[in-house]
Amino acid sequence: MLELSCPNCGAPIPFQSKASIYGVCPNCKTLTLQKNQTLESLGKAGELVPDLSPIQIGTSGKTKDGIGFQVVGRIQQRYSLGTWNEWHAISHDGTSIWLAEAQGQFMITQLKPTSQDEIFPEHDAIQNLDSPPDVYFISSRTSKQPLRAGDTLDIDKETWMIREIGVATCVAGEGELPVGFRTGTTSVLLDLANDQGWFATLDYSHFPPLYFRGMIYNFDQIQFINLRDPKAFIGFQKVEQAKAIQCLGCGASLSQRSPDFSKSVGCEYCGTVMDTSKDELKILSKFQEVIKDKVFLPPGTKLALKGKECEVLGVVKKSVHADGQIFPWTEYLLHFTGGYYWLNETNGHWTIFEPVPFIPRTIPGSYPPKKNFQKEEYKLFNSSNARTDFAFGEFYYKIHAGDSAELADFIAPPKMLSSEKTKNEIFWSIGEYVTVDDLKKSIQGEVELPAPEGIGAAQPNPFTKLRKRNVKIATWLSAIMLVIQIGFCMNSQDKEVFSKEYSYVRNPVPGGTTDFSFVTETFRMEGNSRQNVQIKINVPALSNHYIYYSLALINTQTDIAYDTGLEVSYYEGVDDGESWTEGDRSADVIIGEVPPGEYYLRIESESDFQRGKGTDTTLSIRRDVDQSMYYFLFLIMIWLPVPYSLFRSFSFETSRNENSDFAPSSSSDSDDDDSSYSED
Amino acid sequence: MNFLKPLLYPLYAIGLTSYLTYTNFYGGGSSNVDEIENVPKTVRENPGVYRSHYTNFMRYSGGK
Repeated sequence: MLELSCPNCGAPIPFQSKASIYGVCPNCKTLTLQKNQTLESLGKAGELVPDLSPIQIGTSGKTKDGIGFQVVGRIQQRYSLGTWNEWHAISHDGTSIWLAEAQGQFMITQLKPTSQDEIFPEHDAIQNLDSPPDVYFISSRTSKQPLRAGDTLDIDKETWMIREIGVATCVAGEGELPVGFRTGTTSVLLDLANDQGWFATLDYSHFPPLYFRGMIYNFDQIQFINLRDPKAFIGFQKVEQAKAIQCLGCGASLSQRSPDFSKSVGCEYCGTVMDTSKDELKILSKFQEVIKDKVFLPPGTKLALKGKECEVLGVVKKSVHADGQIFPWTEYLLHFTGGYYWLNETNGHWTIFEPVPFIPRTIPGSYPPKKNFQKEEYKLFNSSNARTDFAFGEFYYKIHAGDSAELADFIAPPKMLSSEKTKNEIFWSIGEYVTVDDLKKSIQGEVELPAPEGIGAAQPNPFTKLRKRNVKIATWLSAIMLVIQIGFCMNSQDKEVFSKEYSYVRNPVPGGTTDFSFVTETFRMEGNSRQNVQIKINVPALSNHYIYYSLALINTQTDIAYDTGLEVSYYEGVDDGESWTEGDRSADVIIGEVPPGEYYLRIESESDFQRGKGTDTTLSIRRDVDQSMYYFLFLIMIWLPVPYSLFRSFSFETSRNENSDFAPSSSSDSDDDDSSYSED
Repeated sequence: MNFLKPLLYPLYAIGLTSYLTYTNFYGGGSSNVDEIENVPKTVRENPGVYRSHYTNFMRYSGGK
């Protein structure tokens, strides 16, 4: 480790990394620059503002993918919602990396060199710290190609989507740094992301802008050591307790439940929205209309969702205007230690959303457009322009009356992937459908919730589950029974125990319709009592006649008879030049569970032959025949109900899609709300 | 009763499977067979003494 003396006070300034050429004196806060093993003073480094960061110089950590680092310096920045830190760290191999934190997410990036030919977007002069200037590419001497959140640009042969255009003011710095800073300077920052999970920032505090590229991690994906206050730190500390504030619009007393989280508060009585990011309240805007109907979870409601103890902080009423109709819904901001959720209620259907820090992957060439997120495909359900009609309670951002955003909802029920795009920011969130019963169970106390109307966009299709289960059952049983059937087939004797040819002649008994009866010779049947017997009669020359046989299979020892009947009939002809046939020249009957023993067959026939006329017949008796026919009947019967559950599932999806951009009737009017989803 | 609805198909499938297994195991005889006990010994000598249950039947009338 290199130690050099501060040119201002002489105190030692340590340098652990060769990449660090700037250092802030820990004693007198002078910013210095290394030159030939000495330090040159660049002036005061500014005063750091106390913040809630858990990280400090000396904190070390290791990411889930094995990036180990130790924090050696930081630059603190201020933006419209407060401050954040860019921590400078040295990785285990000596590489200089940057660690930034925002709303529970940690971005680990590296400063990447770019080619001199690289063309970066430019921006207008910064006029307002709360509103970023226009960002654009110069496409010719006279024209600009403006860039908004959601637009794409190429840097270092990689395509990025702009997530956010922001403005930051440098507050101060400490420790050792590879880049310099100037307290009080304001610069534009472009946060970028791609669908491969990478994150990047273009920092316009330098020219050309600094290009940082890396990944986003959750707090629990990094093993930290030596945090600022490991005993107290559990993601975020609640520093300030709830307090009462007075509405600047109507004077009503309002409670601010989470002062260190919220940046704006909306008055539920008069619609005034106030900026609470600074000590002195300031009016941001005012809603013209107070809309408090159908607010089921007022601020202060406590509930336990997704394993977190949450509290409702704010309520937002939004709507989409399309086809002359208004489609309203309500969003509830839920705050928990370390982050937040949004709980959406539309027509009594509830979906809980959490932020997604990167851009879901687009599946090219899909219609409807599809996104891939966490190995799951989501298809576009609808896109629209939504506006904020009313908001009250407190919010982590500065909410304004009349805020509008382009929304796009992609679904893979029970999940929903949503994007909300404004000029300067595109915000992705992943949602999951919550049943009314589950939501009721999660709420502390008694709350009246509305019954769901129709089908929710992310409502799980109960018939899909049923259909999949039924197909699984049918498939498994078909396979199992096939094996069993093969076993029965292989075990069956299928042995002919008696066969004889007879010449049938019509010879009715006097006064009757049946022919004289006769019996066959006796024959033996082996096997066990479970086995069957097949009696088959074949009349090869039968034409336009029938012969009916009353049959009795009689056991010579037990005097038990198995009594049955069998008809052989075959008719044929030509009608209107078309030949037809009906019936069959052979027929059989199967008698089940015939014990082994000696048997004979009594046969009594009847037919429509003329007396003295007849035909040749063959009688065959077989023991223990195979019954595969039953398996095929089983297959038909087991699969028969499956199309029904398929139909129910399809009907459910059809009903769901009636509310989507892809409903059959609305294919031409998807733009009625001035919105059309594009993959740009 | 709603909790029974999802069970309908599995119960039906189990019933069907059981029936097929039973049928296969016991030979799968036709339903139009009657087991008659104490048939007279004289049937072999005089087949006409036996009275069949299967003398009334429906038959094809033929033609279209």
